Amino acid sequence: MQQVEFPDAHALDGFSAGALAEVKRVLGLRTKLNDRATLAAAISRFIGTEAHHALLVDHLSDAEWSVLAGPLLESGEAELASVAAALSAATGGEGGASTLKLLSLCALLPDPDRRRSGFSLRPDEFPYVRRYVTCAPPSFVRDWAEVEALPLDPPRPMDPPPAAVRPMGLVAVQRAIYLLLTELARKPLRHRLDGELYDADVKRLLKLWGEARQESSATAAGERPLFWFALAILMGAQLLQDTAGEWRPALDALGLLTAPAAHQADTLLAGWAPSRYNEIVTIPTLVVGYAERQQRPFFSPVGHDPVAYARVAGARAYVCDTLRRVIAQDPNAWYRASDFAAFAFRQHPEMLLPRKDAGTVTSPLFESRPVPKTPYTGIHRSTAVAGPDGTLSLALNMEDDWIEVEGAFVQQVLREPLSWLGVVETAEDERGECCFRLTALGQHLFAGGPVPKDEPSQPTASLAVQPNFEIIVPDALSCFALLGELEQFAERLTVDRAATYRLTQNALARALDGLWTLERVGEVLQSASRAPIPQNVRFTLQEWAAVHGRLTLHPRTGVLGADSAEELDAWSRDPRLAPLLGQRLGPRHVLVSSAASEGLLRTLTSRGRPPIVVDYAGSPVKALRFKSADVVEVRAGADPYVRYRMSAIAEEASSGAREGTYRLTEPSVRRGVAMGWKGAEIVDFLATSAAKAVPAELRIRVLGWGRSVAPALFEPVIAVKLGRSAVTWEDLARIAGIAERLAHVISPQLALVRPAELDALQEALKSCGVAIEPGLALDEPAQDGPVDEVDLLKGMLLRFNDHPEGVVDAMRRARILGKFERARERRYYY
Amino acid sequence: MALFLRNAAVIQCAESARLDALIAGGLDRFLVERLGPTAALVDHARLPAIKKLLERLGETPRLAGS
Repeated sequence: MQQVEFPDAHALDGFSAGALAEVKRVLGLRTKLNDRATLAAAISRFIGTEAHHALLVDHLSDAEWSVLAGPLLESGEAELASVAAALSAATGGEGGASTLKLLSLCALLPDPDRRRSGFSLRPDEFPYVRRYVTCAPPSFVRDWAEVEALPLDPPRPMDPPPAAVRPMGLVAVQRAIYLLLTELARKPLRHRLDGELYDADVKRLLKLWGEARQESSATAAGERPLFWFALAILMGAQLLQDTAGEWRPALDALGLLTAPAAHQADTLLAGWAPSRYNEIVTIPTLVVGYAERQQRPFFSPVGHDPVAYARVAGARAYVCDTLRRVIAQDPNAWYRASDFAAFAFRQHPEMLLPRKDAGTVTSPLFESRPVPKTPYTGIHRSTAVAGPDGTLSLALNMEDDWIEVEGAFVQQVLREPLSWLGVVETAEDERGECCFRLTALGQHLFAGGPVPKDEPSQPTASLAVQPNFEIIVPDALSCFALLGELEQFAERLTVDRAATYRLTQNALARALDGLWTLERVGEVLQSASRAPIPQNVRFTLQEWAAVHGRLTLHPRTGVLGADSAEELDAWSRDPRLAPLLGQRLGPRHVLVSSAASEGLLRTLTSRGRPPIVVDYAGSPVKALRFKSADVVEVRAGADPYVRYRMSAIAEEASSGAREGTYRLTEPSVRRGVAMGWKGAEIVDFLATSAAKAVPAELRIRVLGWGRSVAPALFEPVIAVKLGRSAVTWEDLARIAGIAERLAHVISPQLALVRPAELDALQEALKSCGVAIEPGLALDEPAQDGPVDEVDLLKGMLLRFNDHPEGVVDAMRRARILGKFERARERRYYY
Repeated sequence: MALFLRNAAVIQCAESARLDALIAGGLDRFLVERLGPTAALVDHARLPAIKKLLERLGETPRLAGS
């Protein structure tokens, strides 16, 4: 018997540590440690092995086997009390002891999803196990017992075979892989800490796929699963690798496309098995989940899918295994997909979903009781179907509709992933049903057939170079190796059946910066071209290469500056120093590679000539000193970069000042801004170079001159201040005709009024007996002296009902608020 | 005293006339120090702008490693 992997190791969580030790003893396992984790791991490894099977055969009676292979198996799970009842009926004895025996032998396991019961195997606890504790036999037992108890005929080959075969092969997947790998090499696919892919990056890739603008179209919807399939299997095959939050192509991932088709299919098949591709979502007759938006056929690391990722991965592995076991016996034959799906399901009803008892007793003792149907949670039909009573329903149940869920899943796996991978080819029979057979590639991979020979590639006449610098590859899908080379020195325009690229100066420069030479580019183009490369293209390439060679940019290099040309000459003659020096840049300067820099510094130090070291990756340290509000002094010995930056934003001070003194002026800062520096960047440079905060006045000036300060806005208004009295602007603003005249109330005594409103305000106040007179001087100290708080408080108390907060304000001003609060507290307690 | 610059940005031309032309063409804005007839220390903080300028001047510089 084939060993079946035990799928529910965490079911052992339902056992107490003591129970696990008892199980270990009954199973005859030996473990050095007896802690819970070690025991659970050892037992879970043992379950489903040949030894476990032999143990069960030895220890279980026929009656016990009949219970295991009976209703319990059909429903997948049953309540423990039901099992005990069925065992009592079958063995004519006490069911509890038999159940305990089955549990000890791991022929039954408590349902992991319902382990809240804290199930224990202690015999004295068993009578108290509540009815909601459910048990299921390990899949090993189920598989074995079902095969034994319910023999099934494998699907029969079709006769005659279908006429029209749907053309499908590896090419569509190859194209998708090529596009993804080349694009992700250029710009990786980012993901969040929880593994969720960035939406912006996904949209970019889908746009590349040519779908982003037509997401709702039928064509796009048909192609989108292939995109996700390619992405998922690349991740599964580790051709995309997760590096620091980004999915990037592995080294030489593109090389897969140039390998023999059998190797490609084998690699991709291995990548598909654990992949996060979700076939359930792509079944057109089903709606999965409750989201209105169509789901991506890609398991989210944080999603809550009705069918778990591990279940789908396990189901697809089971389908492949069934193909190997059954179809491979007559590998050339055509089969109906529905027959194969039915066979696969009957062999393993829990291939995709656990088939749970709805909660009622399902033992032979209660057969007469109607059994409610178990619904598929989160899975519905996309179109309502009439039931036996004629009512339309979208709902699906596990008892009657498995062919629409598990059956559809098997057919979908055949129709898409296995077909895309070139393992099977599909067709429709006379009734429009899907049929399939293994391809030559499939027979090699699934039935041990010979390695199929690849179609001969087209090493010659694969591309055409146009005078407008475009390169056309008419049959792109047959020459991925060539496309991979074109990617290096030309810019991709399109890749479909045909691919187009454009030769550009930048792309050529990028290639020449790498491992390419102009000669090699010419060789690739010429060897694959249908015709000679157009003369103008050849000359232009030569010109671009010449231009490229005449200028070198060292973006991060070491430079040693000697005090004099003579000193550098001496170092160049020094047998210890000379090998550490690079190309001479000028009379006093020489390039130094990063590899040689440390040795050079050590050697110069040992000669008593340690140089000043400045690292431009960091900030200049104490290179500046602020002298006054606009004068900055560059310290002696500062590197040229500080002087360069200062020259860009300041004027070198004229006579009388020390060398290296700069004055920041409005024109100089504006000049720096025109060169691309922002005011805030200038302030930041000054602060980091001086290693201290920029004086406030200088900071404001630089920000202001650097146009980093938004302009202040003004409006001419008149300030109106109330004299000493209990009346405030807040009081006055309650009177109709006054509030709308006020522009802003600054304090209880001071308000701002627009000049045009002054007359109207004057009239409104006059009606209340309050006059406005000129004579307020804001720059003079208050003429009216301190407000008499007692008068103010009296006035407020008189108007307490209208303006209670005015009383509190007045009390605060009179500094008696605290006393009042304390008094109030005492009264509360009284 | 000798000075050693780490992570500096240097432009190196095959001919001094070309460097003169580049400086006249706008590279002066990024010129920290001319090190010799054919080499110049440029602003390491403005490399993207320098590359854009060189591209505009018809140059595709060879990018050297350190």
